[in-house]
Amino acid sequence: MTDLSRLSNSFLPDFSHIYVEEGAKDFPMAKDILKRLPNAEVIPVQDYKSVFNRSGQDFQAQKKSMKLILALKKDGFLYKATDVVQDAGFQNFYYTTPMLNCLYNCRYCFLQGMYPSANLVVFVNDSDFFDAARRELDSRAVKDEPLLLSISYSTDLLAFENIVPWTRKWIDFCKTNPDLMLEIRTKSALFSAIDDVRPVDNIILAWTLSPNIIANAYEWDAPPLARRLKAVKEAIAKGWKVRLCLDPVIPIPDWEHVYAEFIQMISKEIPAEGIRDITVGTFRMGRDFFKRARKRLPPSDVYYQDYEDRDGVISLPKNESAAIAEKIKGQLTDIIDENKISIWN
Amino acid sequence: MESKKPVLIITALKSEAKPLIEHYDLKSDTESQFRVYQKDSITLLICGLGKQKASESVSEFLQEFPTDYLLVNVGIAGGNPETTKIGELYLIQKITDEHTKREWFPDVLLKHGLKTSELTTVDTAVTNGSAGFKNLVDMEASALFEAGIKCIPAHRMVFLKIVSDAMDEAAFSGIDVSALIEDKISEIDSIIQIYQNADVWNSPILNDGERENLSAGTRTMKLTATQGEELKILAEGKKIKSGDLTDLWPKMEFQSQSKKERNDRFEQIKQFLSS
Repeated sequence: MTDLSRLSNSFLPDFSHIYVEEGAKDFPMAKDILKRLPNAEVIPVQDYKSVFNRSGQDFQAQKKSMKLILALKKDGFLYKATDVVQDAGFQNFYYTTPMLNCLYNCRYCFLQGMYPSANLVVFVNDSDFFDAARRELDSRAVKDEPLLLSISYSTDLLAFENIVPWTRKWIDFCKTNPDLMLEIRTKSALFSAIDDVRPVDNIILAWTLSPNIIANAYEWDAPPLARRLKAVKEAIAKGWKVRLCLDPVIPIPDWEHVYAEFIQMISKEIPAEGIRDITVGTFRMGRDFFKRARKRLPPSDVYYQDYEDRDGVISLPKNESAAIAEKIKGQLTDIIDENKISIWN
Repeated sequence: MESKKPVLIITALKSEAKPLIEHYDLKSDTESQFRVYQKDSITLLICGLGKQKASESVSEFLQEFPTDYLLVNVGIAGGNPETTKIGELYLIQKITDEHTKREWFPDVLLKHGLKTSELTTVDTAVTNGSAGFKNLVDMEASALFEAGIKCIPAHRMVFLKIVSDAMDEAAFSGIDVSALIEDKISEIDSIIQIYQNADVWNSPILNDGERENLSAGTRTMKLTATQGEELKILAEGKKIKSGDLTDLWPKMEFQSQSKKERNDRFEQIKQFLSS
C-alpha cells in the first residue's frame, strides 16, 4: 500500500536533500550517489549524527519526504546477531548495517522504534566493511561453519540498488570468500538490478511475502505481492534458489483462510524446485523499540494486541504463536519438505 | 469547518513585526508579559535582539503556551554578496551557531518555491564585510531553534530570512527593515498557508474529551499511575479497533471502597477494552 499523503503534491520528493558528512564527500560511492541524484540540494554536515540523531524529529512526517545522509561508518561494522533475528542454525551469525533505515514503511517494523529519524543513512566507506568482514571470517568462533552475514538487517538493500549498488558490492565480495554465507532479505521487486549476476551458492536471496490484504494494510510503500512474486520467479529462472520468508504472519480475522489461499497462490506461482527453504515467524519486537514505535503516529493496531513480554521481547503469547506457526507449517508441507521449513516464534 | 492550524511567528525587532502585524491585523495583548500580538490562528512574538533574549523569550512563551504550533522565524539577515542578493527571501536549511559550532536542521518536507540558504548565527553583528561567512548571518536563529525544538518538531520550524545588507552596515538605522519584510509578505503568507494545509500535523489517538474522561475516571476509581497508563494504552487500542469509547465511561464511574474493589473493577475494564 502507498501512504496516500506521500502522493500529495505538497511534499518534496524523496531525496530532495542530501546531507553529506565532511569526511564522506570524496569517497567514490558518495560521488556516484550525488551523480545519480543531480537535482538534490546538498548540505554539508560535520557529523551525520547531528542530522540523524537530533531530537525533535517526527519519523512518520519524515517518511513523507525522506532525505539521504552520506556518512562514514567509524566502527561497529559487524554485529553478533540477536535472538530476534532468525539464525537458521548458524553459530557464526552476524549482521551488518551498510545503510540505516528503509524505503518502505512497514507498520510492524522495528526500525521505527530503533531510529529517531526516518531519513536514510548510506555509509560510503565500503572497503572498511569488507576489511571488517575478512577479519571476522578469520577469527570466527566455529571454524568448520561458514560465517552467516545478514546485510539487510536495518534496511532493504536491494530496494535501493538503483541509487546505491551496495548489494552488488557485497555479492562480488562474497564470490571471493567461500566461507561467507550472505543473506540478502528484501521485499523489493528490483531483482532486475542484479539479474546479470550469476547465482552463487553462498548467497541467499530471501523475499518476505505476505498475503495481499496484509501487504496492503501493513506494508506501506512496499511493492505489492504480485510484483514481489514476479521478482522471485525471475530470480529462480536465472538459477537462484530463493528463501521465502512468511514473517511476520499476522493473525488478522480469518487469518487461517487468508494464509491458506496465499500459500496456495505461492504453490501455483513459484516452482517448488526453486525454493531453497521457507521461514515462518510471528510478530516480535524488542520492548524499548515497541514502546517507541507505538507512540509514533499514525497508529497501527499491530501495537495494540494481547502480547506478552518474553525477556524483553514483545510477542504473541507462546502457545498462540506456536499454534499459528504450526498451522502455517502444515499448509507449507504441500509445497516443500518439512525439514526445509524453519519456525521462529 | 476545521479551524486553521496555530502559527507562532517570531521576529527579533518591532520593525520586522510591523508589516506582519498589519497584514494579519494582529492585536497587541497588553496584559501579557510577552510582546505578543494575536488574531485567530496567528500569534506573533517579538523576542528581542540576540541569542539570549531569543532563547529566554521563546522558552518562556512555549512553556506558558505549549501549543502544537508552526514556528516561523521572520527576520533580516546579512548576506554574502557572492551567494545572496539584498532584498531576496531565503528559506534556511541549516543553521550553524558560530560560537558553539553546533548545527541545527529544520526538516524541509514541503514544496515551497523559495530560494534556500544556510545561515550562521553570530553573537555580535558582522559589519566588516562577509569574510568567513559564505551565506547568511543573523543573531537569533540558532537560539530560537534550540528553544523551539523542545516543544515543536523540526518539520514545523521554518526560518525565513530577507537579506538586508552585505554584512557591512554598522547600524540598522540605514536600512528600512519594514519595507524589506513588506515586500515579501505574500511569499511569507504563502509559506504559512502551505504548512497550515499540509499533512504535517499529528492527531493524537484519543481526542481532548476522551483524554479528559479518562483522567476523570482514573481519579474517580483512584487508579495507580501504572494502572492509569495501562488503561490509556488499552483505550487507544480499543479506539483504533472499534473507533468508539462510549461504553467505557460508565464503567469508570465507580468509587471503590477498597484496593480489592478497585483492582477487581480495573480487571473488568481491562477485559472489556481487550475484547
